[in-house]
Amino acid sequence: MSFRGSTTRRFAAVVLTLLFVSAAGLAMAGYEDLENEVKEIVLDNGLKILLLERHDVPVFSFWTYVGVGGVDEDSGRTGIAHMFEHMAFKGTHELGSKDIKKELKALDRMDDVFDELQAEMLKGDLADPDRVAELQAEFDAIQDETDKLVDTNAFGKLVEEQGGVGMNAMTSWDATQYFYSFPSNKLELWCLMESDRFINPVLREFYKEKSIILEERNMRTESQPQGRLFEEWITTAYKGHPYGRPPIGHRSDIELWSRRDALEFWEKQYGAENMVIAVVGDVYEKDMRRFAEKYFSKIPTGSQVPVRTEEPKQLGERRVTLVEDSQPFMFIGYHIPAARHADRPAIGALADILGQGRSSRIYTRLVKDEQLAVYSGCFEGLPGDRYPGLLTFIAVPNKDIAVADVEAAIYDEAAKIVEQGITDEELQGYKTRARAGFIQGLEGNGGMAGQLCWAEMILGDWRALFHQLEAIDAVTADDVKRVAGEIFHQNNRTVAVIETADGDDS
Amino acid sequence: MTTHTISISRDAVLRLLGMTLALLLLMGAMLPGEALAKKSRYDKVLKNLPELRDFQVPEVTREELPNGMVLYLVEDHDLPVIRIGAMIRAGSIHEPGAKTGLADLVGTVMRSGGTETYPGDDLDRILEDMGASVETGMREVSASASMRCLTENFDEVLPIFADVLRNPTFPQEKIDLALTQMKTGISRRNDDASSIAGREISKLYYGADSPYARHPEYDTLSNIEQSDLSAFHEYFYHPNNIILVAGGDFDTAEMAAKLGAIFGDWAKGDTYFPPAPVLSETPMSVNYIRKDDVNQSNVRMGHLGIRWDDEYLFPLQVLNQILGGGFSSRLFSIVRSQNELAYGVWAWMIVGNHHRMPFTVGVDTKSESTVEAIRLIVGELERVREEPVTDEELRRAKDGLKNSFVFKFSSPYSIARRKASYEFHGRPQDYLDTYLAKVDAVTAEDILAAARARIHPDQMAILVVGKSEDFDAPLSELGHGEPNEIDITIPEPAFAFELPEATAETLAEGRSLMDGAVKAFGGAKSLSAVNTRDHETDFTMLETGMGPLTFSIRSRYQGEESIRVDTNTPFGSMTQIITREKAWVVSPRGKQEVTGDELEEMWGGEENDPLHILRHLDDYRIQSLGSESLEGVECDVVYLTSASDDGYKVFLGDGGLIHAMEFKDQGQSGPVMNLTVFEDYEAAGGVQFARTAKIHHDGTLFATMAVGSVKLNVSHEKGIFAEPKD
Repeated sequence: MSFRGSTTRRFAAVVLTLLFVSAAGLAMAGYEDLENEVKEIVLDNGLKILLLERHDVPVFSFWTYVGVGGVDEDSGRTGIAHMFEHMAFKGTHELGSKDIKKELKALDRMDDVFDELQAEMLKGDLADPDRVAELQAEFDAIQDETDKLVDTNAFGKLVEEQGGVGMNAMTSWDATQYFYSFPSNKLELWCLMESDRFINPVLREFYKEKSIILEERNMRTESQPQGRLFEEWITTAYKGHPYGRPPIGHRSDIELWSRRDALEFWEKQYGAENMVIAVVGDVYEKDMRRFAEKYFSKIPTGSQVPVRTEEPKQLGERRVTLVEDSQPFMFIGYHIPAARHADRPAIGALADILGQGRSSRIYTRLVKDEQLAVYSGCFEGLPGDRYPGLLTFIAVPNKDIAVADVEAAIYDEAAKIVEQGITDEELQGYKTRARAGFIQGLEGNGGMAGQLCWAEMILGDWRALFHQLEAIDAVTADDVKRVAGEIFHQNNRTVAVIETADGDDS
Repeated sequence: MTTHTISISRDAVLRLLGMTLALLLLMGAMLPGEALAKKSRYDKVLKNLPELRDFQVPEVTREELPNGMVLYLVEDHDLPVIRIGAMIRAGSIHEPGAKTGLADLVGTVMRSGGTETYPGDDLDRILEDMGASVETGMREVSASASMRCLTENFDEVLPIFADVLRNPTFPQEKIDLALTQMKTGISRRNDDASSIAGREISKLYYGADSPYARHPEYDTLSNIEQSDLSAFHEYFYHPNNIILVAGGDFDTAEMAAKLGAIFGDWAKGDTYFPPAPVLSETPMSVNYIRKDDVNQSNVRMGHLGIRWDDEYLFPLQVLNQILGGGFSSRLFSIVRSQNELAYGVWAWMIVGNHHRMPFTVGVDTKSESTVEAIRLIVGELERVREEPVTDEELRRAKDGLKNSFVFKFSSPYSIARRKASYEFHGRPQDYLDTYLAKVDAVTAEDILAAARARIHPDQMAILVVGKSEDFDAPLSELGHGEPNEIDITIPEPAFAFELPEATAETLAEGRSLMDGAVKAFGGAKSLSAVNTRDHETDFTMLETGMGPLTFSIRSRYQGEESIRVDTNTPFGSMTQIITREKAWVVSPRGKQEVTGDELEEMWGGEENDPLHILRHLDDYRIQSLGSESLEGVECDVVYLTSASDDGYKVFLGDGGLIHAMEFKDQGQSGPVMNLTVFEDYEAAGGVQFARTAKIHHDGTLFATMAVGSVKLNVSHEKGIFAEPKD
């Protein structure tokens, strides 16, 4: 109803901007036109770059989404996608070396020695300790040699000194994502750096980085009761599909991978066709096209193979109980179809009405009325969206409340929807929330860039981002009841619980 | 060239080297630099980067309503969204220590409880059905309220936001819900090592009881009543204590008018803000907290740092980048990349807005490298005090700060919010105007001076949360003695004493034990014969903040009708005359009359007197709890419950005399558990009196009493219980 008013005011703002600030660009067009504002640049190597111009402030954010994650790893090399993510901050041939020729030669010798070392260590009890020690000494000597050739963290230093902020990356089961923001005069530098790290990565300090990754694993998983529970839960929920592997990697795999494993992985997985980059901010299409051709068109193509194994139908409830010194905690997961499945909008409505927000059924009952839990909710998205995932419940029981009581209340609420469905008011509330959430989610350059990439890689087309609301609007109360009936079976769930050890209630 | 193939003297080599260097330098001066090496693409691109273009900083309007509420308004029409944030001058530093958690509760229950018009549960539904939000919160020195909605819902959401801010009802059921959640939070607070480390290092910086570091306990939550929440809100939430920031899709004049209409009739209020707590420097200490279920140590170390008005503000911000911020920092390169000791390592001198915030270094490292990592970091802290940072480090850090400066303007709302925050904290508005020049002016010498003045590796708290048997070396090897082991066992609620179900037997036994006590004290006859009394007592308070203080007190009783208490303190004398109808307090500040609830409280205190209890046994339900040892004295324990449900746990010691009594009492800043231990019994007028008593509040010795003289059944001077003259 107020679109007209706000459009008028926006128009006034545009005129004012034009009159007084010629250097600044146009204010962003209405959000309802956003789909038409996104420019798509497709390079000859298949790489797609999406651009949304926003010229209010001379900054831009980018998001590089590579469709490679934990599911693309071979058994025995879990965690290698995450390792490559770390390596993508280690510089390139031109960045980070004091003498690249010497360095590459030394790294190659180091790889040879490590291959031998790895082979010896894999003999287990039969390994020859003298041979291991000898190889280790040789390895350490080359390590020292290469250390002297490295300009440590040259990549990160350059980004930071040039004013880059929010530099980070993440690796999940589905994808590896890289992102940060730059002042807009650094566009060409960013194009050089971002393309260079995927065309000419050196993977230097690889073996040292393993220790750092093990520390990351300690921090997130091994030294955290809820982290331990999470890994047990996910690995129990899948027995065939690689969603059942930890993306950070099993400890023994981390200890054993070689730099050549990572290089091989990069060559296969980091193809231009398996990548999308979104840029949002003070960047003009003309410049973006020019620099894209110049830098990104050299990213080679790869040879990724989709995951073949489908998770077999679950035949019985699976349950893991960790007895810990810490307080109770619970994950419950039910298998659901992948993000592109036609039922997912209805499943989204189900998750929201059951367990998102303070007026949801589970929150109202468990947190507010019966005070069984300090928090309890339900959501989609784990472990990922590329393949069939889990509808997840989390419950954090209140002090002195038994986990079993919380669990029973969750099943009861799920059963109510299976039997009685949802009300029209609940569904309408969800649709309104989805619309408001969508609009508010457009704020911020980085978040917008991330969403465009997600839609392109997961839904198959970035335009789908702007049409999700239509699919949500089409959901009926009957759809929600039907999908609930299909999902909520005891045989379809995996439950993981922390129980507090006896004799320690503090 | 090597020295053993061509045999020349060391001096000759040096001379030769010097010449070569000079030659190289000369060549460098003659040739353009790039001719020396093949120029990389990076050099080319960096050299040709354009200047950052100018841009229009959005205009922020400041308005003040007649009632003192300040508005900061900024338009942003990118999306049809409006948000408002309120900063309120309240905060948890203003809650009494005995009620720690009160301010947080206010922050939670304002929203969860809602108002008359919009009860909390209705709010959840109404707001979520619009995809809108209204939230409230509390921090140490500020409180917050915020709303966010689509433009089309603004006129519906604004009245809700205003009502929540102005008229929260704090319903008991929502207080109870929030309390249950906070108690759950307490029970879970030792599950995660990094949150333990963060919480406990704060206590080492500020002191465990400091309002900047303390946290709720079961007992402090039990002390909080509904009226405390209303009173807190009423005291602090005035329009002249609030700055509102509104940003989004609106017209400034229209928004100012709407906010004026909805907040304009809110009356101004007066708030007296007690002075902020005084901070003392952090003493050097090494501390250890045991956590068995980890393979990694969470290490935190540091000390109190700076506030925004610190003379070294800019050098320290540059140093932050060099020492512990991001990929460029020394700690990242040295601790993480080169020595592979951690995934997470950081150091930061936080700039306080209100008070000095800490300088903290954090590292999470495997148990087996705990001491190695600490030593490495301490070494780096010493190095920034010993030698200037390199030119390259200085250039890079300054460039980083200058080049990223534009991000301070990336959202109109955050620009308005920053301006509001400066006003809120009394910081000058021109901080960013001179920022670039001040960063630019920082030299390596400035940083060295700042590090020497503000970073003190020899005067910091070091805290390790981990599993000591796996450490690479004992923490004592850090050179500061044996580590201080901190016990983080969660104190059980003292007030949650659960009285066992009484049986006929325990009731009979309880009564018989108390009858025995009556005998031990001199018998029912002697006790009821006591009519007038005249006591002189020295009362020494230990916890005053000014060292122990002794008051001499003379108490005179006329039966149970009148009491007169004359107290001499180092600050003057005070007289209280208490009768059943009225009481008067005369102090150097004048005479005050006391009636009603306060009068009842004065009399209520008398019921904690053993003599009173022994004379009125029939007023209590008495239950035996068996025997228990207290401070080495084996006691029979009985529990007395009064008609008004007050409970007294009475410890009967030698010969049936009262060794101690435990009961809920009023402390200096709220309810406490009072444990009074009586000693040195002596007879006066056929009745036993303890000559000394030790009073503990919540387990800490709070005061001692020494009775000088006890006279029974004396005749008082005339008129001492009458209303005093002005």
